[in-house]
Amino acid sequence: MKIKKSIPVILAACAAVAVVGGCATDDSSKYDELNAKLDLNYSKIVLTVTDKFDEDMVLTDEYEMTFSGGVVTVNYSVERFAEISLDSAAAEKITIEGKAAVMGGKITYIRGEEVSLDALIAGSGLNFKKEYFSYAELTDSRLKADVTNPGGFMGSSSLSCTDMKVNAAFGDAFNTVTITYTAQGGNEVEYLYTFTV
Amino acid sequence: MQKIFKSILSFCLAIAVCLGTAAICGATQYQVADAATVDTYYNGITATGGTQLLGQLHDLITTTHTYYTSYNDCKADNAKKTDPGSKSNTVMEFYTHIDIDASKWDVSGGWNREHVWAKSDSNGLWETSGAGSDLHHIRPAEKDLNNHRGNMKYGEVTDGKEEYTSVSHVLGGHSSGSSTTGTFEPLDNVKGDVARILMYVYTHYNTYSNSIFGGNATTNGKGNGSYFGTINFTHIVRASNEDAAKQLLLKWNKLDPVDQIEIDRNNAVYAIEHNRNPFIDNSSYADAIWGGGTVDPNPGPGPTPGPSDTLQSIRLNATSLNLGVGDTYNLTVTPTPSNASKSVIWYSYDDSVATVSDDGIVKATGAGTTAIAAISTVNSSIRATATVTVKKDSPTPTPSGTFEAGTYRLALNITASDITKKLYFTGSLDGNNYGLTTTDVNNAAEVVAEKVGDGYTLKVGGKYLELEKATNSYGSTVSRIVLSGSSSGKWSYDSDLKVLTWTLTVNGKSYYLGSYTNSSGKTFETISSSETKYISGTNAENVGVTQFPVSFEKIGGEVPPTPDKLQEIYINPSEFELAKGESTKLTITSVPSTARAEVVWSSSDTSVVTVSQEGVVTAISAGTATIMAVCKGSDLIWAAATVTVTEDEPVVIVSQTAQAFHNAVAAINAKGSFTEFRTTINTAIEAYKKLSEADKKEVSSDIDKLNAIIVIYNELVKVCNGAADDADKSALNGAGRFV
Repeated sequence: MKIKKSIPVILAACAAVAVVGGCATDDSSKYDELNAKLDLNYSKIVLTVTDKFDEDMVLTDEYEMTFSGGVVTVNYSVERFAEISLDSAAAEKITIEGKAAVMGGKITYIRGEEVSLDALIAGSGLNFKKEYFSYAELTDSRLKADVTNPGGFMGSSSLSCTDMKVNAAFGDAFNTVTITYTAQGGNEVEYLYTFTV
Repeated sequence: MQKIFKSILSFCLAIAVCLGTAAICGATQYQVADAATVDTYYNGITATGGTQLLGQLHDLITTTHTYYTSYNDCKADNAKKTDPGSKSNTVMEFYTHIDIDASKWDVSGGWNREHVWAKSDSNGLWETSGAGSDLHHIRPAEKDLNNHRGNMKYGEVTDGKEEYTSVSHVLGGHSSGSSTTGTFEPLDNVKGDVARILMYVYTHYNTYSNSIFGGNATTNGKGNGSYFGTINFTHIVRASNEDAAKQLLLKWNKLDPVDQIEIDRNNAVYAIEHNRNPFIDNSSYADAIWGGGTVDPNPGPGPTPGPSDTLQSIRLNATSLNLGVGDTYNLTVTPTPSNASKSVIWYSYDDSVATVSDDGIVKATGAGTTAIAAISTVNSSIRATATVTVKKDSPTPTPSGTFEAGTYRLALNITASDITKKLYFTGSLDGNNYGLTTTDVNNAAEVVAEKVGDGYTLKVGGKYLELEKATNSYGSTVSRIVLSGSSSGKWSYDSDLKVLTWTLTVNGKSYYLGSYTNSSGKTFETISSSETKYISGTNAENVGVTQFPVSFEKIGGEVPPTPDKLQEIYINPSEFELAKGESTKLTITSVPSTARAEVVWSSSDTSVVTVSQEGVVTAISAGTATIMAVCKGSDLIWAAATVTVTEDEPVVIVSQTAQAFHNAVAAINAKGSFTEFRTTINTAIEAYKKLSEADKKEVSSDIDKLNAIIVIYNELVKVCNGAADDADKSALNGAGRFV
């Protein structure tokens, strides 16, 4: 499990470095601060994935992660288009819902239909590095940028897309991180990470 | 849908269409009519090909030809039996298949006897007897079209003109050259009929001793000896030699297979003359004699002759039309089954948008959208409709400047006779007697218009054409035309009325041109509309304007005027069905209507339909294809039409539930939104659930098609779901930092 830090620790660490004199507030350190914010103790993080294939072809998936006592509980609701057969006409979509627990690097499905959560275990996660971005507007409360290294930023080497952009809102901690891109197949994708301290 | 998903769908749908149809392309279908009669009639034919078969057929059709019809026998009484139209007391015109009133004999717009093998091309063998009055050979033809064709030889026309019936303006074929030395190419759905008639005449009227029979013909039967002689195919077919002529006819024989009309006609003539056209009864004979093929001794049963089958449905040759105001289009009806009555009543839902004549000719009258219905007179619940959208013509030229500066010829439109005439100036250019006339007289100078600002100046011979008030020799106040070196006024153009207007104001009153008589007693005819009033006397100063209804034509060789800029084009019809082997000609509507559109035609699938550069579409095999018309010089201006080719004999569905299912499958729409695609599939599935086992046998091909479409839909779903899985995986990768 990644080491979570509390906000005061982060601030104290930066202050100590500043006193020593080696930590000027240049861009790189601001991106480090963003990474540090990712590692804070959030009580809940909701990941909403929206896939738009056409005006009337949109899939929305939600993964609600709650953190308690070293266990991450994931309540998920995943939409997929339903197949049709001659035996029955189909609704447009089916929704797969369930609940899983992640502990000690393992996934335990508690109820409902299973979905693939392996990437949650294997992924290295978001990574704010200055060299991953261009046309960045970074302030004390917002980062808006084009993502030039989607795989590095998302921690996923297999990601193939174009026009990835990020729009993050934060204070002492993250409020939201919105990532959009166009996938290889042409569908438009949006990730919305919503953070609750 | 996004690019990848659209490409998946269009590729797979092409497969789905093929899976859903039972057509087998390329197989030659030989059809035999009235099996019982044929079995007996052709009992003595033992040869399998070549001159032996030709000789046996000659003997057969000459010896059984026991009643030689007279020329008088080839008029309405028999024509209504052999070539009945779809309505009572009509005959079917040979080249166009339109109905003509049987009583309109030998008048313009009516019909007369057409020697398919022209008399002048018979090597002197017939006039009005023998082959010249053989009902297998003589067909009703529209009189003017018959005249146009004259004694042209049949052949393929690559660079000719279109030939229409004079009144109904229905296309009957293409021709090049004069009526005596030219070439005539019938439409594709008539070519086979022509070929089989010529083969009959050749086989019958060559005398038995001719070398073409190789000694295998023994008699001329009961005909007068003078009926027989020597005729070659090159007498009537435009070809380099006899072999090439035969090959062309064999090609037409295959291109346009025997249909029920020919079979019925063969039976009708048989009942009168007692002989038959063997090339209709078994179209493998032609190949066997001249093409190196062999006779199919057991060809499959063709369309069953006899009493008309019960009408199941009708379809129109177009389901969607885009017309400009004043355009016309001829809708025609095809019944199912094909030998059922196609008699209909035509009805327009809004005459202010489009009218329809009793013959199905639609005329666009005003902007808007309406529907034209064909209602069966046999069963009024059986109908078919076509949507007509009429676009308002872009006014041209307009004073706002879309009509560009340049030099134009005025074409004067006379409302009464609806004939466009040119506007000429006649009379002395130096004297006082001027006039405008519409007749082309010697030494008349044409009036040309130059755009100036929002109006026009008119010039004759470089001088300005003006009107002025004058007093004639009788002391009456008249207006007259003068030519001057400068222009004192402008002619304005009313783009809605298409009228060129001159207003001359003198002392606050307006004067206008009328007719007047000069001192020599010569009267210049008025060229104005009926609203024009004359100025005469002291109190006859009427307020008004002189109006000349005109249109503008570009003059070549001068300051090149810019033609009306083409904005867009439409193909008519934009959606239609054809049966295999059928042809139809597409037309282009330009916007604005006065802009010229020269297009390049193409077919998206030539195995389904081909299209000539004249816009003639020919159905090759069952399926769906897109016909494109792209403007030459501007491939950004284009239009497309969708054509569906059905089997020769549309499936007759008896059960209502089966029909409902068939309709639901046909209505599945993969071209619209994903939602509509899914909804239409679901509708078809619901209809499928209502089918009985017997119903399922009736519509098995539709079930196959639906299954194929469901496979395509599910493939699309799998691709989209897979893409969504990949997106989630990356998102969860990002969230991996938090766990």
